[in-house]
Amino acid sequence: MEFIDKKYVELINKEIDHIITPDEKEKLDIYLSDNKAAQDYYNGLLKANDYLSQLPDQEPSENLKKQIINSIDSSRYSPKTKKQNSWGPLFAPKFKFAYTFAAGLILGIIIYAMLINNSNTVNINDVYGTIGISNGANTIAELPLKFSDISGKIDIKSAGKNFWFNLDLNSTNKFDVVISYPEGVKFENFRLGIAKNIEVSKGQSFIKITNSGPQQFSMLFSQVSLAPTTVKIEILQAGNILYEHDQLINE
Amino acid sequence: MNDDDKILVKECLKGNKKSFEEIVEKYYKTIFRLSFRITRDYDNAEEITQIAFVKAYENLESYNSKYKFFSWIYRMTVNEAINFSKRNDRNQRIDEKYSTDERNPDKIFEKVELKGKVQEAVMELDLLYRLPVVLKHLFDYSYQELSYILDVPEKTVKSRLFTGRQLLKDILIKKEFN
Repeated sequence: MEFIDKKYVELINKEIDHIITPDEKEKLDIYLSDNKAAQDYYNGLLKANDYLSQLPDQEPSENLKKQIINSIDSSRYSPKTKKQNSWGPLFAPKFKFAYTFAAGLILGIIIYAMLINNSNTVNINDVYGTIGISNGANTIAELPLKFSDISGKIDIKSAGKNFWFNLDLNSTNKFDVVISYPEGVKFENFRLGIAKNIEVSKGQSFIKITNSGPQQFSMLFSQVSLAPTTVKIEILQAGNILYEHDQLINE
Repeated sequence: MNDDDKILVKECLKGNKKSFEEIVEKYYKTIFRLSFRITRDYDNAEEITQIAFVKAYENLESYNSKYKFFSWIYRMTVNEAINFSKRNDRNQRIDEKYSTDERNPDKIFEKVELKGKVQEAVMELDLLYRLPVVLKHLFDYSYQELSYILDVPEKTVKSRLFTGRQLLKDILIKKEFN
């Protein structure tokens, strides 16, 4: 068997990898034309490479993605954890009293502000239970919830073109409730029962309530027509969706 | 593309799990294919894929953005495949010798004799040579990228890749003659 110069073994591989320069290619061609063993070697490698290309790809099972996501510890990079790390020194025991006092003060101001805000904005008699439209109200769904540190229930009721969500939830940590609705549905009003530390934000097709602790509140919506429509409810904590439910209204 | 990955990683580190889901969506099929090429076992390939993602997520803070994210995650996959192969090497050899391959989803493909031989030939390569051959062929990586993924110097990558190809050619020739 003829000897193949190591330098040309490298050039042959570079040729297979399509990274050979024109100069190198020229040298290789000259070498190959003059060396039968090198030619066989080169053709053999090309053929093996070609065979590799013919191998079909396997597809993973459909639930692999789900399995991967479920096996991840989603709380690992929660904003709360990061915050505690970076502000760690400020949480020294010596500041405990001052922080408790400040937190109480802020909480008081927020609750006071919300009560004022509530009395200004709520213009329906009672969404939670015996509002005027509640005569003939149907319970569409009762959703008991228990996951993470959140527990409670959501009742969904309707009467004519109105429907509302009664939420009775409790959680140690902050969580978001997002209700998304399609065109033809309008958010009408928000009613606080027992609620504190609550933040409300509203987009064109969703309303988001951020809160923690024991919460009771209701959200009233109206529809343009009695056509069936679907409203989505999601509960999130630290940006992770913990619960989602699509509710058909006017089935 | 690469910048997108970096943004997704940053978002993950802020606690946005959805971003990691996007990463999984983007790469899980490729990682599975790589794992399957290395192990030639469907179940093992799925397990390796899953472990690689979990480890990637757990070590996200140590990801160095000077490298491409997919190179980083392929590196994890390769490491996991190596660990897996070491653990299962003995069993796999016995399985392959006596297995009827009834559970193997690769069955249809195996019926095509040539392709079956190619797969067998790849598996006959020592892992040391199989890894650069498979990675180069699947992803057409540069020697430098392979060096990072395999965690060996570029010179070693070249040497193993060239030897791997040569061995594969020799095995295939032998199989054709038989």
